[in-house]
Amino acid sequence: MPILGQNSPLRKLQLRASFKNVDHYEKPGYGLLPFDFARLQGGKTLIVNPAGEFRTIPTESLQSVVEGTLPTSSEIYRDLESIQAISNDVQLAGELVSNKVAAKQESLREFTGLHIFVTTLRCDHTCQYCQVSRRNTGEGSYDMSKEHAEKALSWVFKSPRKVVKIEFQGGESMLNFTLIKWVVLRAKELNKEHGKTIAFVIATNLTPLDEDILSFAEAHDLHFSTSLDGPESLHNANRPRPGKNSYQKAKDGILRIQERLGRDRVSALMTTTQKSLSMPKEIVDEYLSLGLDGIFLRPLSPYGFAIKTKSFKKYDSREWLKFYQEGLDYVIELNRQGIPFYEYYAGLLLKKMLSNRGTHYVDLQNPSGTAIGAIVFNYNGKIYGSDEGRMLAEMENEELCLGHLDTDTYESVYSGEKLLSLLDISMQEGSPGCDQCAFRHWCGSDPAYHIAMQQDPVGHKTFSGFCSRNMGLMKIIIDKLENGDDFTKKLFRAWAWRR
Amino acid sequence: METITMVTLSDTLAHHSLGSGDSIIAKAFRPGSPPRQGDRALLAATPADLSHIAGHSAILALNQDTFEAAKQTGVATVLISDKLSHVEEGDILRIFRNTGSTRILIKKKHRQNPFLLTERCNNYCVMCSQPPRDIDDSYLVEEALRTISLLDQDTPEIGFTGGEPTLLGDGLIRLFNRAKNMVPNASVHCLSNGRQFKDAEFTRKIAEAGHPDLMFGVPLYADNAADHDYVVQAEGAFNETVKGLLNLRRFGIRIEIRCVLHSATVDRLPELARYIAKNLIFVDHIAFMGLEAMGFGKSNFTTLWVDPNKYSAKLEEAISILRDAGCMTKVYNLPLCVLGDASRACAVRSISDWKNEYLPACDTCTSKSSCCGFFASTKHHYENLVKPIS
Amino acid sequence: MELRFNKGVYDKEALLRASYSLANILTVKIDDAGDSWCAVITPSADVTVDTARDEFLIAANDEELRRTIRGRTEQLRMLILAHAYSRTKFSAPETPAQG
Repeated sequence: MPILGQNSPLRKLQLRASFKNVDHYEKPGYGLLPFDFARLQGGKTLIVNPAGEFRTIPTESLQSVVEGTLPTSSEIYRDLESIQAISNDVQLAGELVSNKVAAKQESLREFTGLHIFVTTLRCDHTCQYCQVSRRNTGEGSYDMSKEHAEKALSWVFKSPRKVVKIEFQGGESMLNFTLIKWVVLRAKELNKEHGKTIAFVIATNLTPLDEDILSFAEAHDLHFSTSLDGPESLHNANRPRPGKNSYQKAKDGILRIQERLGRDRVSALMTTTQKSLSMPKEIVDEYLSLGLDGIFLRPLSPYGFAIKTKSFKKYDSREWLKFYQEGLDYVIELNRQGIPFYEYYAGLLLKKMLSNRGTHYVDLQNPSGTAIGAIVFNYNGKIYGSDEGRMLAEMENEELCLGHLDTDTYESVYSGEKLLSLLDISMQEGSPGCDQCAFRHWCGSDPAYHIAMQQDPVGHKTFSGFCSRNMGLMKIIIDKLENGDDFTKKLFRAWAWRR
Repeated sequence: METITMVTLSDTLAHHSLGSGDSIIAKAFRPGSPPRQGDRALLAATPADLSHIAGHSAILALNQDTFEAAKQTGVATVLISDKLSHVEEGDILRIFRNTGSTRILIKKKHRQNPFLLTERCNNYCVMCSQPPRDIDDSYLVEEALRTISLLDQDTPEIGFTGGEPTLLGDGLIRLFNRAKNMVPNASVHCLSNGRQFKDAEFTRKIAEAGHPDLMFGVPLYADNAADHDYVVQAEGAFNETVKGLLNLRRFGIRIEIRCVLHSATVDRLPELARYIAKNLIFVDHIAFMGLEAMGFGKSNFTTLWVDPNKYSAKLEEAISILRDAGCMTKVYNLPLCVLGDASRACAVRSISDWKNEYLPACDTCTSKSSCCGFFASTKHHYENLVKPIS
Repeated sequence: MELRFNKGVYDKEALLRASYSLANILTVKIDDAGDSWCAVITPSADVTVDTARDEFLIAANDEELRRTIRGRTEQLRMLILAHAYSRTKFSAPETPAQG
């Protein structure tokens, strides 16, 4: 039978007589450990161990690996041994894998970092993809009350995490800046006896930004997160407002914050629409020109007005992946030219694929990040296990509503049947399509997405845009890790281990 | 009795009145130095120095006249020729009574004075600079125990090497305890192939000895069993060593992982780095080391030697992988000019003090003062390979 | 199109999983035909019969291979996970690890 792949180059070494050659130490026979596999392009197969470590092998060698006939002289043997897919000491190999699985699960113990306070549903914009139904700026009953904010704060302090984030969202959250101020001050006061590290982020379109807000942000170390879809024409087309100047407002706001508080105090998120697909480079350039350190090339989420206006259907995974690949290639080029710039989606997946650490991105967790990743306190006191859950509610689907601040306690929600069964059902181990997927260790569950798209929290993964998009992305990244040039590999490695 | 004029670190010297009993281990002092604990040897340069003889168990006469005078005192006497200025105050020597041969065990001005604990070893590394000998050298433990008792309190580090120190079993624990009690401020760095630590009980006993600043230097030569076992010429060594590392971690004992760079280790160096970053991230640091042409390193040199410029890229990649993962990494015994940027940042100006040598080409190099230079044993191999940094 | 799968080689589960993963390009009806399974495959409109057959065969083989790997490593996988999770202190000592 032909030797699969190369043999170890150590076979060529000739030492003095009393020393044995390497083939003496290539003991025949090995045991199999659990692993998953998936076919890739170019005659390769992906092998992944339970800790999410991977290697690729020629597809034709897979059968012999499983049958126990893979030659121990081959490099393939060594590659698979190093991730404990095979071993001549199965007990030791199992222990190594177990250590690595445990390391990745560490973060689960400290659940709920992100606490979202929806301060108001009022908004001055009418974005076509809006994931939250908005009301015009005058209607007061869409504001969060102090009473509810107080109750929500008590939940924040019950989180086991030492480091927590309070994020203000909306509508346009700063239209209720009074409440934001109140929450910040109250949180700091309550924190005197808890000693947590609290990060405050305001998600805003920046139109209400003024000197009062900036002074307060400076005094209390607040961060801003805004929307920037790309160059002016694209951004304004996506995000209409009275005056048709959403871009200018966002740009002015970004620059003002950077100058006044520092570059690290404002970040931007883009949303992809049909119009975005032809201009990935222009969008990246826009971010660069505003001094932002990176971009998250996101897909469109199917919520709120996006569903009503059918804008989510306007492109499928393949079109988006093409857009993404162009954007990523361009970002790599920028780095090659000495311009440090980071792509967050790739960075997140690389962390999962290459580093030992867990990640906190809510939408790619197993079990899902519902409540244990992030929790949402809506303007009306209702509690949701994710931002997407709230968006579903705006579409009159309360499936992911976990309770209400007036009627439910922290304990009853976190250990209640609703949340626990949601988490249970979201686990990949019990989901068809996911349970043996080789990519699952880098993927997650998104019950809200599947409820929106398929009216079921688990859904049929073969028809899932969430699945095809994430799997497509991972394949792009694996391709670059395996076949990319040294610079790309080094860059990706740096991204994977970046804190 | 002959007076031998050339003395190496271990040599037979003219002696007198050494008496019976097997050997004296003593620390050398000039006349007039304050009294200290332990066996003292007087460094006498003139007969007048002999007036300070009280409290000394041996005399080291630095010339013939002093030697003749010292013979009259009845104290064990050794003639060290005046050409031999390398015996200095603070050095610790062992004088064997029956042969008069003397070994310098500790050279005070050298930062590193590793204690050779045994020449026995259960590995047989293809580049071993101290090839194993299966002999009864248990006297080395006693010697080390006595020497440790004489060390200065400001000794920064005590090094143990071999052979394989863990073959001493409880003897090793006695040594750690002696070090802890007699020189509490000194850190202990012990080389080991790590295999004995596969035994959790043994590891526990080492941990329970409770030395406050203990580290084991454990070599790992590959990310897989066949290649590592080949380098150490022992079946099953890799698996035992990795188990040993996990046990050391379990019991909170600090670890340095070492890897010598040669033809059997550089091909999969990035893979080794990846393996360490994923499975052994808890180690204190990793040390990559240039090849020394001593012992088997010399007899296998033709096969093992690789021009460092040829593996520089792999070393760079390995170091980047480890540093990205947050592992401290050091590079020893390679000149700066053959190293990439990341490797240079990790380079240590080491090679024990007596081994630093340079080539004529190095004179124009701007980094010479921060470069470790070469081992005497490999220097000539670099002649066409060095590139002075400008 | 009909494909026969020898029961001695293919478990029904492998065929079901293959059907699941290809649901976007074909539908499958699996009947018991004595010593073999009979898979009736209907490609979707934009897919040729040849493509559907090839894809289904590859998928069935892959799923059967996965079954083999699982069969030989499942116990170890449970041990690995139990050991990993017990160290993150999810359960109190007296609670048996959930497999």
